[in-house]
Amino acid sequence: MNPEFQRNIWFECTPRRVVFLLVCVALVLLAGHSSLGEEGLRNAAKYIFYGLTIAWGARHAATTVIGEMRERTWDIQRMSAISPFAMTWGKLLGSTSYAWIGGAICLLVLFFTAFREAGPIAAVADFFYFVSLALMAHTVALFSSLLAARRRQAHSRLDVFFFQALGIAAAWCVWTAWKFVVDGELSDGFSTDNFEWWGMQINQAVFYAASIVAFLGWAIIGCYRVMRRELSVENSPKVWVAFLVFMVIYCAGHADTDIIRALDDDEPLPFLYAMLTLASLTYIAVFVEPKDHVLYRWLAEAFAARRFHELYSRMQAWMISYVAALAAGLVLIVVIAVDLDGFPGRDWRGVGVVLAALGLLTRDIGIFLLFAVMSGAKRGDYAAGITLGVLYGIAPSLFSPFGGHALFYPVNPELGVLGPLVAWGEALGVWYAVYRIGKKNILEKRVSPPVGAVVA
Amino acid sequence: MIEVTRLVYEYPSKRALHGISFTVRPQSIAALVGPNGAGKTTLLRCLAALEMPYLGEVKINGMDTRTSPRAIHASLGYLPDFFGLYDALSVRRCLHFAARAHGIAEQNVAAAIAKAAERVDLSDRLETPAAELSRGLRQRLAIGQAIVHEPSVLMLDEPASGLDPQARRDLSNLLVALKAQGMTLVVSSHILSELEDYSDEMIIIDGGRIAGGNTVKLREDTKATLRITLASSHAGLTPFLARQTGVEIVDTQPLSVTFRFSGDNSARVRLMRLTVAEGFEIMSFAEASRQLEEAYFAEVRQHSAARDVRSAP
Repeated sequence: MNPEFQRNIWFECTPRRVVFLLVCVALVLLAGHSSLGEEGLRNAAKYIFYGLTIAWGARHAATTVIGEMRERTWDIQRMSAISPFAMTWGKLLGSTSYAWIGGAICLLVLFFTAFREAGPIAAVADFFYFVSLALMAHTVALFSSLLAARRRQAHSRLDVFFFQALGIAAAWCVWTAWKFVVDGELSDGFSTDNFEWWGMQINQAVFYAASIVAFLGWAIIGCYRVMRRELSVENSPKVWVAFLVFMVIYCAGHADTDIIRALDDDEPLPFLYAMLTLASLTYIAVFVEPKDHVLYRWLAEAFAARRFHELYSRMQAWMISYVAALAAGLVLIVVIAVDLDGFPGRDWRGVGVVLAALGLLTRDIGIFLLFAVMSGAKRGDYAAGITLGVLYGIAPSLFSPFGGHALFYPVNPELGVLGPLVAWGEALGVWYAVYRIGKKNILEKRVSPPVGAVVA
Repeated sequence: MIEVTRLVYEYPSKRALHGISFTVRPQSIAALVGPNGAGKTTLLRCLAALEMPYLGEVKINGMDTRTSPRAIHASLGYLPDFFGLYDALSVRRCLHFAARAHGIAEQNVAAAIAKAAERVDLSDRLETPAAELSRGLRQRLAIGQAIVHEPSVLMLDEPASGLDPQARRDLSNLLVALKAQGMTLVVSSHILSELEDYSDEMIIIDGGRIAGGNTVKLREDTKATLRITLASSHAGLTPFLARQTGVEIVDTQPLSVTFRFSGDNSARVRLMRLTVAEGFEIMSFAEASRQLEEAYFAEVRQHSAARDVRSAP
């Protein structure tokens, strides 16, 4: 047995706790059945599953690594020979094992009630749905806590609650997607509506069920990749690149929906979707990833020494997404330039909008880095987030009476060439500050002689 | 074998290790000493592949910490300066988890637990929860966890802090026994008296550098360091010894001569007989290890002097 899974079972599933759980679950199910019969039984099982397996399990998944760090046992785990994959599933299923014991009883009840109500296929689909809900909640809670662990920042109960909430939010996404799979009630069967994706007509139920599986798979891969880093194993950026490709294909395929079609001829829209997807992932990545001064110093030195292969191997995810977003934007500009009529706005102003958007993305990444390189900035990412909130939310309304709106919303076709000029001007200003402050605080701050100085 | 080459480790605003290089021989005990904040724990964590070097290379049994961290973790035992125990688990389960986590097959775990428990003298407490153990016993359990898979290299960070004299002696005996069984040990401490009994060599870390630039040998395995002490001063002892095969004079004092000797036990007996037959009044003829504290302060004085010269305008 996986030793990490076994250790968790020793902790979580002591005989006394298991007996207590079984009695409690049985009593609630019995109460549900006595009040409303089979429907009451199913509802009771459903709500126990939501509360115990999903919400409580997400909390355990969120605590599993942070708890180890708090108890100072994490280094012992890192020093073990357990492989990153075994550690990932050992923690994912082990820490939630208690929640799964209660969940297993509920799943049995749900399966048999669904079987009696709607037949075997619906029962299997229902089983898949509930398992996906819980797995997604647990995986996202673990993933977010692992990311926070990489930043060595998250230890409080509030942090754990936040990761648990993220897990539950992810489960809510599955719940929403499932509404497109099942047509109303379970007994009504699966949706027969078709869905247009990359111009293909795909059954809506199949598409969303496959989406749930795909995103669950990526969440597990994400946990595994972060776990590798925690266990000192280097990650190449290939998997992140694969995820970007997946996301671009997945999101850009939606560009053919009726809503978008209503705008205009939709030829460049997949590229627009690609750029927006990559830009969104860049924002998420730059917010989440640790702004490690030592890594940035190392990257700067590797760049100066033209050690490009090493540089590639240690690039952060936001750097790759940012380059990809720029590339997608440039492709979009070319497509617009080739077929000006094909873009909403129908003239060169479309090019200006895309350029301005790329400028704003560059500026915003710079703002995150600026707060990261400032000395003593411990929670720089939050400060950067608030700054962006002010820039996009409050400042435009403050300055618009004086005609300063364009400074904050240069992504506007009406501004013509001024839009990209303003956006890239702001970006250059921020990046100049990053360069100056970063040089002082990261490159020059090191209080040491050159490498290799041996004291005799 | 541990090989460290030009190891640099950096914190955001500070370089903690400044391009240090050294080697620890197989089946030896290296003492990692230095004042608080010198970089001992950082170095130990780099050796254990828990932290990756900024520059340079660390090799454990030929494996690079950067490219084979998990293989190194599997072959290492590591005791952090805190114990890292699961308080809710019994001693048996703590050792069971440690054994399985280090790749011992399920069918061999019971034997590994029994052996580790015996080594750290916890055989009679296997069912006791870790939380109920005293500090000394928790320390032993933590060491038991670190050695349950019989690692080839064992690293211990401040292993004797807080232990009573008897427990320290037991620890010292255990470490010597582990070395005799083939392990290579690195023991970090800032309490020199702890390390005196078992260390073969000393790595003095001061300000992220190795004082003196290299390890300090405290014992030589191939050559014994011997000292003859006379009842009264005799200037002829040093030249007499220098003429004997396998003798290399280290230090001469009015009443004693310290020398390295490469002969075996019977050669040692012959040398003693010859010395007596030559008419020297011998009070003692014994092995002389270099006093660790003496060596430490000698190196640190030199290091401080060199640093003062460098920092002078």
